[in-house]
Amino acid sequence: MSLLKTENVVMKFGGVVAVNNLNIDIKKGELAALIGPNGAGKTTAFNVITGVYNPTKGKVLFSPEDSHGVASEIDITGKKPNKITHLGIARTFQNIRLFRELTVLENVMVATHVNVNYSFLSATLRLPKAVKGELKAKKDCEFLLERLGLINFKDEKASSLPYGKQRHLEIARALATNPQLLLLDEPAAGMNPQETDALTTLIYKLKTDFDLTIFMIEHHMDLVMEISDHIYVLDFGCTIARGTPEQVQNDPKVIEAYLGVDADVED
Amino acid sequence: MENIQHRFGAYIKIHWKTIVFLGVVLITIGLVDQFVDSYIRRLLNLCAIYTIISLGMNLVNGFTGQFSLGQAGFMAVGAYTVAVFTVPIEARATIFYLAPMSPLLANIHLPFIVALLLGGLISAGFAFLIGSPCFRLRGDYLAIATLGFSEIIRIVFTNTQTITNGALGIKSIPTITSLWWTYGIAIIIIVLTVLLINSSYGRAFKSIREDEIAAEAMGVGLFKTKMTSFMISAFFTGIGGGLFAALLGTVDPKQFYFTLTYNFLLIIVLGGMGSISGTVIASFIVTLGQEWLRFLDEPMAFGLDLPIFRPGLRMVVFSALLMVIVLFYRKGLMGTNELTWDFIDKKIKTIKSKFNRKKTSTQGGDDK
Repeated sequence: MSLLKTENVVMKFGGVVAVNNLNIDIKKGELAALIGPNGAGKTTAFNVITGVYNPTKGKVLFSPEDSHGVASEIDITGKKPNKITHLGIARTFQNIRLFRELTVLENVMVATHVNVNYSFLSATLRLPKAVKGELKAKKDCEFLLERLGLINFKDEKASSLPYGKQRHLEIARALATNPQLLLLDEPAAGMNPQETDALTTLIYKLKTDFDLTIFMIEHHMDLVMEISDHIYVLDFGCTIARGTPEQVQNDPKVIEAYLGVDADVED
Repeated sequence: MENIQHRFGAYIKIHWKTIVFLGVVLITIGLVDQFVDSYIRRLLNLCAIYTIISLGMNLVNGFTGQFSLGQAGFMAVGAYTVAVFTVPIEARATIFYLAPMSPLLANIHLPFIVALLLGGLISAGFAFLIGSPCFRLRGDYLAIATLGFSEIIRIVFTNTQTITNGALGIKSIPTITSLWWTYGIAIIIIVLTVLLINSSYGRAFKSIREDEIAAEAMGVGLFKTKMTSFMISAFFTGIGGGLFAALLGTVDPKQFYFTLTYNFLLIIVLGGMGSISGTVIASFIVTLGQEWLRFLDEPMAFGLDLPIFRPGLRMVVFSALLMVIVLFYRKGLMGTNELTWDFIDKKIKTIKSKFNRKKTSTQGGDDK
């Protein structure tokens, strides 16, 4: 059963074709990766899926499970980002976008606003429903912070966290929206090998513990090859290869795109 | 108190000091209300009204990060609503002597509190109309639209002779003199704002200020959230405007020039964009400061005939003050901090450690 599908998605900015005919099919419970050289259109693809951009052509289909475990396919092409988040797709950002002046706990709690089912009046007047909702949100968020090793920082400002912790906080915040599909945009960017290793383990554990499907963009090939079930390779907006890590690793087109094989090297 | 603690659980802790502080404030208001003369009374009333309006402005500009400049317009709406509906029916013929009041309104008289709330609601309605197009766009369109709105509403009120009595304004509005009206409403609004800001909605406001794209990706609906904040802000401002009309006893369009908005902008910048206690403190500083610096406008300020002491110098000094603040306290007096007991404790500790032999104490402002 596929959770996310894109059908011939094309994203043009003026004359530049950032994403050309993207066909992605992510199965439920899978860990898929999107790789490719800089400027290949990976983040644009994410932005199309999460509704930041409305694609020039093509469709994005998402099949979330409802509370009874029944999946139904929804066309999310061009929907607003907050609506898409509400349906169950959460994301992190390549260039960290935390709410810098808010505390760590507040950062995560903002993400629970999507599930708020009381009006601002009952929130202001602290009516029982709102108090219950807030307490539950706080408990859930503290649990998430505990999971990601941030609980000791919960009252610090997000901007005062060290870089690696900020990356973790981005993941915690995305998880707080209670997603079915988690999109990670270069979660290991700027991390050293040890940190990358720890992150690999963490992502894998989160995936099992929260019953997630993960789709990530990453440049650390060790991480990608180790945990991905399925890999898509983009170059200049086109999907040049797809398959299991082994298939992709041995694909001549991929090697060419990454190493830039040309006439000189072949000599 | 046991009861309150239990009900709110870990969600809101009401410090015993807060309750004592609130008690002290209420007693002070009661005492001051008994003993001060009408000049001080009016000044203090004005402080409370400015607090209400600035809080409204800070909600949009400071907490939600949307630049609105429509305070004068929303105030005018609230002020005129109170004026039109509370002027005694028998006095209306003499007030509207150029053109009689529209027959639809001529016989409607509402109690003050109802008119006040109605003024707030109509203001919020206008906010909805302005916000609908502006919040669909990204960027600073709101500032332009609200600035335009406050000018338009003033000109509309100048020309709707049969409703607002045009440029003549409306006189003989029953006045409020007791401090309880203004301070009561100001305290209620401060408490409501504190509760709102510390709720899920308040966090949503702040997340939009911090990063719109991330907020939207985390499921915060930008349009709806901005609109909520803007309408609440306009509601508070309308109420402030209504109190303003009832304090002065007269309204006319010239009171609501857009320059009035800059008073509130000054207050929120001085107090700190995104600080409730900062806004309250700054409201008092600015309102009282503008009054007490009046001596600078007198030609004979220090017994000497100095050429610089002439009308307008007061505002020069004020502008210089604003520049000093922008240069040295870029985030205002309080930044985004609140004057909570923890904050005061921390400050006292740092001051104590600095001057170990001298014991210094700080005064508290409002608190949650």
